[in-house]
Amino acid sequence: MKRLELAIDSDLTQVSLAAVAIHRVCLYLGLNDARAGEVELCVAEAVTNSIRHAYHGIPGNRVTIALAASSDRLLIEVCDTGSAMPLESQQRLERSLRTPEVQMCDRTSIPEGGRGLHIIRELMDEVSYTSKHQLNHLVMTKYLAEIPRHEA
Amino acid sequence: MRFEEHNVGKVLVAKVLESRIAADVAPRFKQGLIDYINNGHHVLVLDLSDVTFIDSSGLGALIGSLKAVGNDGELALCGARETVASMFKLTRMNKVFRMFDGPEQAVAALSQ
Repeated sequence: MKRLELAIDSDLTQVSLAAVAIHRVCLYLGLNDARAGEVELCVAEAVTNSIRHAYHGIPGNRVTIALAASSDRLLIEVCDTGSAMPLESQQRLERSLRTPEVQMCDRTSIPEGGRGLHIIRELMDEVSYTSKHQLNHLVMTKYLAEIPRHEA
Repeated sequence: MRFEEHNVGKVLVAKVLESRIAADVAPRFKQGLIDYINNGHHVLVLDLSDVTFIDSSGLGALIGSLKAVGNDGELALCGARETVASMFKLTRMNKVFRMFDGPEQAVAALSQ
């Protein structure tokens, strides 16, 4: 099992540092660029959610991103100590909701936000969220069927 | 947020000169597009060929800008790389935005 832990301040200008680092690590682990990009996007969405919603956009708090790779899966854990995700959002993560279809003629009613969890749910194979003792964990799992066993 | 723009007839072509449209820059990105609209440009082509990453906040900024051009205006996209195009497909936004290979095709379509 290979493990890596990164930590950033709860500042949106720091998110790309962590996301790009994870992308590079995924390439090193043998993911192709498209799949590494999917993981990068999910990390960016999860960390942005922590900063915006758990820490209410206030810098000076810590968000950690832990990566663990085995021969068949990649686990990414995003942790914060802010407000827990609302129950409704947790339920949305647990149900495997698909992104709703939209109509071209329906331009004005398309929401500008609220897609982050949908994106994570669609791109990851497993997603779980727990909040205990003021520590919030979002765990995202991606299966690595195409990675040769000796790589991980 | 840096753009490089030029006019082709009634169409304003604005090229995004940043590689990432993420949550930290999304408000400035949207404001840049809103400024074009407020300055009377209601038919826009956004060239995304230099963009390698867009997240849901960047997408939200684009949706807000699309709403701001109104039903009589247009905000089309061109030059989306595979990673960016796949984000639009994933969120079904490829059905909301008109997407073209390059600025010439976009301008031709919007000039009709």
